[in-house]
Amino acid sequence: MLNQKAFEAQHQSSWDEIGRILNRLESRRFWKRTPHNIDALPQLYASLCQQHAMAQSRGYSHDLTSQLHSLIARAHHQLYKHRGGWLRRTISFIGGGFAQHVRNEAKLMALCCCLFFGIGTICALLSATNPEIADLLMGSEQRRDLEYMYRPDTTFRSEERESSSKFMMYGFYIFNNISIDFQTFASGILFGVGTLFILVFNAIVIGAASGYLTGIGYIDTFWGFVAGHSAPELLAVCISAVAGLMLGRALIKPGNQSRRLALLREAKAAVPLILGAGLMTFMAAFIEAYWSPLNYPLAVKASVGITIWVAFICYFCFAGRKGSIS
Amino acid sequence: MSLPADNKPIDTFYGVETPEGAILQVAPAGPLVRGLAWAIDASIRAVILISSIIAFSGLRFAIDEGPETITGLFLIIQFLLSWMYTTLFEAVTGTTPGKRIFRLWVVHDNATPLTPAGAVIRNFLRIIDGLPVLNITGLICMLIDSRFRRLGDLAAGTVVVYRDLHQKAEAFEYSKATPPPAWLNRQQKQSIVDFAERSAVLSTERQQELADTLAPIISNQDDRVGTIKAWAQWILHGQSNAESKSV
Repeated sequence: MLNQKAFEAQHQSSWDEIGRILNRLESRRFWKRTPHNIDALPQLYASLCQQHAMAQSRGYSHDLTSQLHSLIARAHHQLYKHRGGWLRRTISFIGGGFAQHVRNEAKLMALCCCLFFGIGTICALLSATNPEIADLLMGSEQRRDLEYMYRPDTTFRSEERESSSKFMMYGFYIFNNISIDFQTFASGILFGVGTLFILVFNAIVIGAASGYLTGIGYIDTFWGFVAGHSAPELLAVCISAVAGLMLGRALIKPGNQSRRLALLREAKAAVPLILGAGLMTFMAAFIEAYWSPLNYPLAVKASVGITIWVAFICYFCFAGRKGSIS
Repeated sequence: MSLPADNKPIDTFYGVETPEGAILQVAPAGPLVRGLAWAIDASIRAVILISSIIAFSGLRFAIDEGPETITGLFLIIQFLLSWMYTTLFEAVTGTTPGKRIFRLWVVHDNATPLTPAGAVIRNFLRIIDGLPVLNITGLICMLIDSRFRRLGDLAAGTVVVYRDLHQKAEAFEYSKATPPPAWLNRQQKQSIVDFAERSAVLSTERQQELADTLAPIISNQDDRVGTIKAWAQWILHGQSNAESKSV
């Protein structure tokens, strides 16, 4: 049997070599990260694993084995790293991958939409006919605020917002609405209860507000304002809820897997949905801040809104039908 | 890395076999060090937020923008800091500035590098781990789990580990080399070499104390430490090499 020092002498140069390649790959300066002999890494790594096993079985010192282990860990990390293709993957995601992921969960999506739009419609009908119910559902203070915001005769609405004020609202919509999406997703891990709570709560408030404002005749101002951004925003809430309920489903109905493994699988599948929902809400925030406050006739606003709804529904039904899931 | 008699590990390490047949040792980080890393990240975020408020307020007078623009920017920055700071750092580098200070990073359970999807899951679920206050849910979950994983880690299949445990020992050389008793087995020889390599960081008294445990098998009772080091030299270099050196 070779003694340790002879073993080290025999292999030291290849360890130095792999160390140099790794140093470059781990460099914090990205332009230094392409060593000329990178092709040698897999082969060097494979022999390194073998040498490490040999060192262990021959009982060489801990210093040597842990030094080799450290090299193995670093090389392993580089070889199994997820790299590149950001732009291509983002484009294929938007161009149809996202729709594919949503269609994969068509049943849950249908459930969330039924819950959200169903409860919303019921609350809207109740609040439109009876203002007391609107008070009950969203609180009288919020009802008065809304009433003030959408009054057709206020100067507040008759003049268009300053551009700086639009930007402030843009920031607010991003902060508030995307956070709600992400919270809806995250609270799914509480056996789905958190997600359902947020979904139903939003359906009640949004439904009551729209019903009440329609009932008192603020149709131009309210529907004119919300028509444009309603499609991406409301659909994104439903998609976030789907992502959240996937987490809940893993815990409630893990199937023939352990709950932990089911959660791993479902969470991974939910990521594209929540990222897509975030993106949609980001779009909605832009529309809400820059298009929705413009003073155009209701007919224009409504037809733009309907066009966007149709576009989104077509996207989710048809985009990415050809080709494999990304 | 050492196993006591009943083969239950005495530390939190665990091994992962790679496709190449190597066993990677993974060292999960405990709640205390992760809490400290979290506190550092939280302070970095607070500093960014406060300095951006100051910078924007200065900017406001300089470029004559309304206060609403500043509020808008502020809200966007707050959104980015609360949801994207840890997610993006971990997705790109596998660690956050706070974790980097303690040489921690995030890997998947099977020791492969963190994927962007993993970073999204573990960081978006952070708000649930933070419930009701001060990450209590996450802490309880970490204390129950053998690898200190919080809810977000369990869902993402990730674990926060110490990066690179190896610290290079000083090269061991000893002037003499004598063969150890022939009946020593491999593990015992390894312990002798480990002792010799570690001796650089041990005080003379401690070395003496450790060497004394081998007193029954050492013939030269005056210099037990020296005897053991000479054995180690012989084990490392073998007879021929060692003799040629000692001449």
